[in-house]
Amino acid sequence: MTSTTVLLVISALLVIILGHRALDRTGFTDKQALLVIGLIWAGSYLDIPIGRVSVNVGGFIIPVLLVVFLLSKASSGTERGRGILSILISAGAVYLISQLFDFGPEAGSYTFIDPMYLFGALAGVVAYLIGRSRRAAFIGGIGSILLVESITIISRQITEGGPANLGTAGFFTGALIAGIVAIFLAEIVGETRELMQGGPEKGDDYPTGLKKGNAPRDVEARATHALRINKPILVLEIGDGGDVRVFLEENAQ
Amino acid sequence: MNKQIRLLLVLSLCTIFCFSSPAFGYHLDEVRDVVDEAGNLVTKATIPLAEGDIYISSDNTEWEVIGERDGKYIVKKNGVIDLSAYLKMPLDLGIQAEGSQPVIGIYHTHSSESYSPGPASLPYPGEIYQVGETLKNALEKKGFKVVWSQANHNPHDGSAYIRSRDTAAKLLEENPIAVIDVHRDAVPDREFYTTELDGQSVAKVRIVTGKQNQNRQSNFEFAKAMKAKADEALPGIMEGIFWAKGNYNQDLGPRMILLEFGTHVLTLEEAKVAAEKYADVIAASLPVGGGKAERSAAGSSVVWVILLAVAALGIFLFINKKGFGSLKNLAKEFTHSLRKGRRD
Repeated sequence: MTSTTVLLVISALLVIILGHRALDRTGFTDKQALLVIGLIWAGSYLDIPIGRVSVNVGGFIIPVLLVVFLLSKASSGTERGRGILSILISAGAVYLISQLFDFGPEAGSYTFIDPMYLFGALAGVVAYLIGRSRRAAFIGGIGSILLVESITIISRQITEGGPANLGTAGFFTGALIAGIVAIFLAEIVGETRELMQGGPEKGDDYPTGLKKGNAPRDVEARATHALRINKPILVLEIGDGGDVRVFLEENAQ
Repeated sequence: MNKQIRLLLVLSLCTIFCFSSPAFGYHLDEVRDVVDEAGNLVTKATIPLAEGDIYISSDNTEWEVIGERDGKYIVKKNGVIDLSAYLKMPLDLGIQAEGSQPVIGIYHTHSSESYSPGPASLPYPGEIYQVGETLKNALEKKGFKVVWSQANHNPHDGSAYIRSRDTAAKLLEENPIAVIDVHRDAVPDREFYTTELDGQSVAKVRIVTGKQNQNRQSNFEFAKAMKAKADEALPGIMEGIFWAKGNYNQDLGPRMILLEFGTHVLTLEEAKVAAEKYADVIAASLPVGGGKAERSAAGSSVVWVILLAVAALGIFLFINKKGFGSLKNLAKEFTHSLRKGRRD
């Protein structure tokens, strides 16, 4: 085995491990996360021709389904709305930046960081700001690039034509890399945020078990109170109109 | 959200924008002189340079960017590099099966790039595709199987490399020994970017390799091998090598290279002649380009990737305040879940 092959294998393993941890953060169980990774891997060998566009199953169809699935799993309409909004606003931000900066070697734009990572970071922060969870960051990171790229390719097919590829990089497609960057940036922002506000062990305003920061972060973002006894999590939500919801959250982070 | 959180998030966004802010004010055709400490012109660049970027000029002098002054990049001379070792390297076809016809992939990230006297950018397909086709035909005559993607990656915006990434990865399915992203530059200076070969005016060729990826060393070695061969076979055709920030899809594999055939103020014919001739350089470089140096470069990249992963994990653990004890738990959780598929 040459060093080049070792390098390729290590790169692929890193993406798989990072992808697995990212999916883990969105609330998937380890088994489900491995299944999604397996589907992306298997699907990356499969292209569906739509007109002159090669649409890859692993690099486009599965990520789209993943985003739809994660949105459908949202426990409330508000969370789902935030998820969709985070995709739209992140997509807007990605589009704006890609119009302002070229990132190429000829047109004279500044290349501090590769756009793939920059867009992931940008979408991650924007989506985290709106969705207030790692899951939202992941959805925003993947969804925004998928949205911008699909719209761009469709519009260019209408105006110019020519062959095009969508998601054919499979595991290494820009949208998935951006999703992974987004979730880990959200993790850093989220953890730093919690560090700044004192963290769970300093939340003396709440009785033990109801301390702010003691429940999973995505639950806390919307729950009035959340009690971590063990998994599943007992969540108590008191809405603006005074309506009370008590339920068990099984897939919280 | 309290004020601290908002402040943090706003600062994060500002950081991203600030790092990118020098982009404002750059335009197509804006060229910057690259000068040495005494003010002598070394080269011209539209590629944005940063401190630490390396440029190897046509005379094989290695220059390092040390800053900016009066709108010019300042470089210091690191010395003259000896590329003769690249002429003697043994063949290593890497993932290519022995005895099979070597495959080369060609694609065009910037689908609208065109030459004089027409507009610098045309709707798909730009004239750059004709340069790619010329290179393809010339390489086929040398015995390579060439997979030339005519995929459209327009518009020429900041997402073009994300779109062309899918094309580059698709080309890799053919097990190529090299993948070339064919471009033209935007330096608005005919004299600077042309040379004369066999009485013909020919576009010069510039190689761009990105530093922000794990294959950077392998790709830089490949670039230097091409430069060595070009100096031998077609002296004067190489404008130089930039080893600069960016990725340009070169993280996808070794021997992923970006070539600039001339610039938009040259004619298409000058670029096509350059492509025809440069096929000799590529053909001569590949048997030696994938040699010993590249293998050791890939070896150092392996160490680089592992170190980066360890550093990232360290930062993650530090921020999580969990300490290194959590590493054991993390590994335990992961392996345990693989065995039993239990919920985390």
